[in-house]
Amino acid sequence: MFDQVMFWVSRKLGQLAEFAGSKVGNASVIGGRVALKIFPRFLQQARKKIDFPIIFVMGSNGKTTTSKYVVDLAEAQGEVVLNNNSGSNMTTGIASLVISAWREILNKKYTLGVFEIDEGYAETMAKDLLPEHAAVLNVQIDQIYRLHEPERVADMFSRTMSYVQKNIIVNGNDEMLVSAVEKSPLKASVSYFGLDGDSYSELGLFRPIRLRQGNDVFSVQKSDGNFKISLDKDSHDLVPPSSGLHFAMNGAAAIAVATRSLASNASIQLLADTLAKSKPAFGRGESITSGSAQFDVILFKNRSSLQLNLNSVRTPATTIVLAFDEYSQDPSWLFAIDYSSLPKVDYVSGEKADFLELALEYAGIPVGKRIESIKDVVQEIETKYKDLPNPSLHRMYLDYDQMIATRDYFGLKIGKTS
Amino acid sequence: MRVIKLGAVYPVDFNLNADVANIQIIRRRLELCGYQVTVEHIDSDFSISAGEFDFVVIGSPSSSGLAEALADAKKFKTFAGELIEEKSVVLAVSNGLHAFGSIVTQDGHVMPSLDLFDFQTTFGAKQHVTIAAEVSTEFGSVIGIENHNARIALGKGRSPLGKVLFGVGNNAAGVEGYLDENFFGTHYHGPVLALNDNLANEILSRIVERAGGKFEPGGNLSRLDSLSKEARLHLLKRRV
Repeated sequence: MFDQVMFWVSRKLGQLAEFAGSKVGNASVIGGRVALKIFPRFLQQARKKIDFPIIFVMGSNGKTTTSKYVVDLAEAQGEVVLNNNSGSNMTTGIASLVISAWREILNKKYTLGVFEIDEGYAETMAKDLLPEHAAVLNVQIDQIYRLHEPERVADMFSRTMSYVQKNIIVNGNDEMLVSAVEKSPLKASVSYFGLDGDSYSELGLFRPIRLRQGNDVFSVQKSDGNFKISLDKDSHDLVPPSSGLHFAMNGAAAIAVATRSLASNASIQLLADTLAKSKPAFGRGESITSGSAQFDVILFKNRSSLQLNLNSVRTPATTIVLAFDEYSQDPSWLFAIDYSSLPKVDYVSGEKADFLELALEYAGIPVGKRIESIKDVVQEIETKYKDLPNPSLHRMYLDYDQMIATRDYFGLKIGKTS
Repeated sequence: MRVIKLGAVYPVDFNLNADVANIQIIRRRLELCGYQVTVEHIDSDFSISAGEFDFVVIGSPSSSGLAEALADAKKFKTFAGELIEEKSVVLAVSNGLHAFGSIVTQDGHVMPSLDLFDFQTTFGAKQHVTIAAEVSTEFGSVIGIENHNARIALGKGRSPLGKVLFGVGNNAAGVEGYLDENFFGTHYHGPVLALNDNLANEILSRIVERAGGKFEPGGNLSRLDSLSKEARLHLLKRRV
C-alpha cells in the first residue's frame, strides 16, 4: 500500500514538474527526475502495471538507430510501441516516458516497449523493469572520463543481462560480450548477430573476433558495399536506411531482435523488406533539403562512431563540415581519428572547434573556416547554394548538440525524422 | 643528418586515450621544420632493434591490456631496457608509465612489471579525472588531461616530471610523472604534445640531437603553436 501511495504521489508531482518544465522549454526528463527523487522504486512499481514485453537496446554506439529500426519492424507487424525516441536513455528519461504515457499504459494502448538504455544505468533499470528481451550491440571506447575503460562497460552489460527474462541478442564479433554471455549464468536464451568473414576489425569494436557459425547466429555478408543477412540457409538482401557497415550491423541486430521477440513470427525476408523502406533515425545519416542544396547530417558521439562514419562515406561532397561541442568533456580522442578520407574540411564549428582544428592541422587536412555557431555555418551554406540550378551536397559530421541545433535551424524536432 | 625514426609500442592496444597521436604530432612538427622522418609500429614480436628509434611512445592500455602485455613481457622488457640504454627519447603515458616501475600492485596482488625504474604503482578504487591538470616542469608549465586510479611512490632520489599545480598527478608528494634522462613519463593522456609546444620542442630537440642534428624551431610551427595555445586556454577556462 505504501508503495502504491508513493508511486501515485511521485507520478503526480512528476507530471506537475513536467508541465512546469514545458512552460520554460525544458521538460525532457524533469518529471522523471522529480518522481525518482521522491520514490526511488518508481520504475519497479510502474512495471507492475506494464503488462507488455519490454526490449532493452544497449551498446556504446547505435542504440538510437537500432531502437528506431526495431520500432519500425514491430509497428509493421501491428505492434503499438512505447519508445524513448528522443534519446533520453538514463533512468530519469525512462521514468519521464512512463509518466507521460501512464494513462495509455493503464488503457492498454501499448503492446511493446522498446527502450534504448544508457550503459551506466542499465543494471539498475534492468533490475527494476526485468525486460523480456535485450540487444547488446557493442563495447567500444566511449566517454573515458565517465566510464573509464571498456572492461568496466562490459561488466555493466554482463550484470544487466542477468536480469533479462527471455531473449538476449549479442554482437558475436565482440569478444567482451561473447565472453560475458558464455561466463554468466543467464535466464534468457542467447542469439548472436555479426559480420561474416575477416573484415570484423572494421567494426570499431574494442576486442573484435571472428563470428562463429551456428543456428543461433544472424550473420551479415558484405560484398561490394552491399549486404545480406542470413540465418541458417535463409539469406536475404539487407538494405539499411543509412549507408555504411555500422548501419547494416544495426539493421541485423534489429532483425534478430524482431525475429526473437515479436509475437507475429515474421520471416526474415519480410523484416528485411520492411527495414529497407524505413527512414534513418533522426540525425543519423539523415538528408535535409533546402532548394537545390542537400544537407546530409551524420551524428558522431565518440571515437568509434566518427571513425566508422568517415570510413563509410566516400562519395564527394561540395562542402564538408565538422562540429564538436562541450558535451564531450575530454577531446583527446579527436586525435585518434584517421581523417585521411577527407580531402578537406570547409568549416569547423561548435564550442570545441579549436580542438578539431588543432587535430586536423596535425593530420595535415586543410581547414577552410572556423565559425563557432553551427546555425551560422548552415545559413552561410544555404544562402550560397539553395537557389543554384544544380544540386549540391553538404556533408555535416556533427556531435549531438550540433546535430540538434542544425535540425532546429530547419524546423525539425528531436525524435522526428525529416 | 640521418632520417629520424619514430615508433609506437602496441599502437592499437596501448592507445586507449589517443596517446599514440603524439607520434603524428612529433612527425608533423619535424616535417614542417624540414626533417626526414619514418614511423614504424612496434608489435609483440619486438623484431626491430630499440636503438634504431629516436622517439618511442608507449601509450596507455586498459587494465586488462596492461595485464596481458606484462604477463609474458620478456621481449618487451628487453626492448624497453635497450631504449633506455640507447638514450632513445621515450614518452610513456599512464599505464604505459606504470609498466616501467619496480612494483605494480592491484587489489593487493603484485602484477608483473618491466622493473626498469625505481618507483612503485598501486592501483586504487578511486578514479582521478582532471580535465585541465597542470604541472610545473623545467620546460615550463604543462597542461593535460588525467584519468587514472594510480598512486606512484618514487624511489629515493628519483625525479618526477614536475610539481603538480592543479590535479592529482602521482597522487603522492605533490608531484606528477617520472623523468630520467630522455624518458618522459606522465599521466597526461592523449595529445599532450599538441597542447604543450614547450614540451614538444624539448622532445624534438632531444630527438634531433640524437639523430645527429641541432633543432631549430622555425616559423612553420607558428600556426600549430597558436592553435595549441587556444586549445590550452580553452581547457583552462573550463577548469573545475
